[in-house]
Amino acid sequence: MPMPLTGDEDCGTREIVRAGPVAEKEGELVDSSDQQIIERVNQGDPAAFEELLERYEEKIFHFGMRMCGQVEDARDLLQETFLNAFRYLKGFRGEAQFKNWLYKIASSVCIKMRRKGKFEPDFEISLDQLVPTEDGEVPQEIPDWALEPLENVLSKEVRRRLSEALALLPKEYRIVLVLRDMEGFSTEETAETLGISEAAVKSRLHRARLFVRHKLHEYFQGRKP
Amino acid sequence: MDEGCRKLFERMSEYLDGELDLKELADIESHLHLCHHCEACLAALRRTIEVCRSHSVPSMPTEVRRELHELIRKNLS
Repeated sequence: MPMPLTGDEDCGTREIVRAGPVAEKEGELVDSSDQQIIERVNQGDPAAFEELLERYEEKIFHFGMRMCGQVEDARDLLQETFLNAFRYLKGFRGEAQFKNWLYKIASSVCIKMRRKGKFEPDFEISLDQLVPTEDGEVPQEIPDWALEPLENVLSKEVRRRLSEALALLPKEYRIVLVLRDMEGFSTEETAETLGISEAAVKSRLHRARLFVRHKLHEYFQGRKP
Repeated sequence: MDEGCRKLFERMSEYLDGELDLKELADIESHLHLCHHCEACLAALRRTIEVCRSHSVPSMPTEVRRELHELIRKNLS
């Protein structure tokens, strides 16, 4: 049985959430919880909202960059997300984690917005398109790029190719891949965030991964002497 | 591609994510022992996921942060 890929392998993309005000408790530093900050905002201290900004602005910006690929678009997504979060904070009941609620807003903003000056791909990805074929890419053995240590594979060019592959994915597939494989959301959290079934998350994720695999395969095949 | 290969191809992500039930898992693992093509396909997909998880983006520019905070402060008042 494989060790499930948990996301903990990602050591380069996660940001440490900046700590908010801390209180000392029995010698330990304890963060103010998001919920405590939200209560302060809702009880008439709107400036406390900036503490939530400090905690999550970098994460939402990164999500915007992964989804849109351009600073300008990521900035718009960031601003619209936090403006909406501030407007609707009174409606946040704490049933979900604040972070997930924020991503739900960001995802909704993202789905609605159009990338500036960018063609937005819109097509269905069928598994049949991506099945390895006899005359195509049926691998006879594990390809080198899957065998080498990951750090040897992660060149600047590969990172660029990955960004290009992401940009070529239709948005409904891209957002699932970004949430699951880059932002560390579980299948259940992704389904909840996007308001779709877990089966749909799994289906879109698999197709998106295969699409990216195909693009990476093309790149590595092209490099072969 | 035979039926076993097709089944594995459809469920590779769930296999790698540990989301299959025991029966499906056993079926896929017994197929994997016999099929080098599927083993290679699976290795490439696993590596793709690792590459995705290593995807880094630039930090938020100071200017973007400043604009955001200004916008929010304007709405706070």
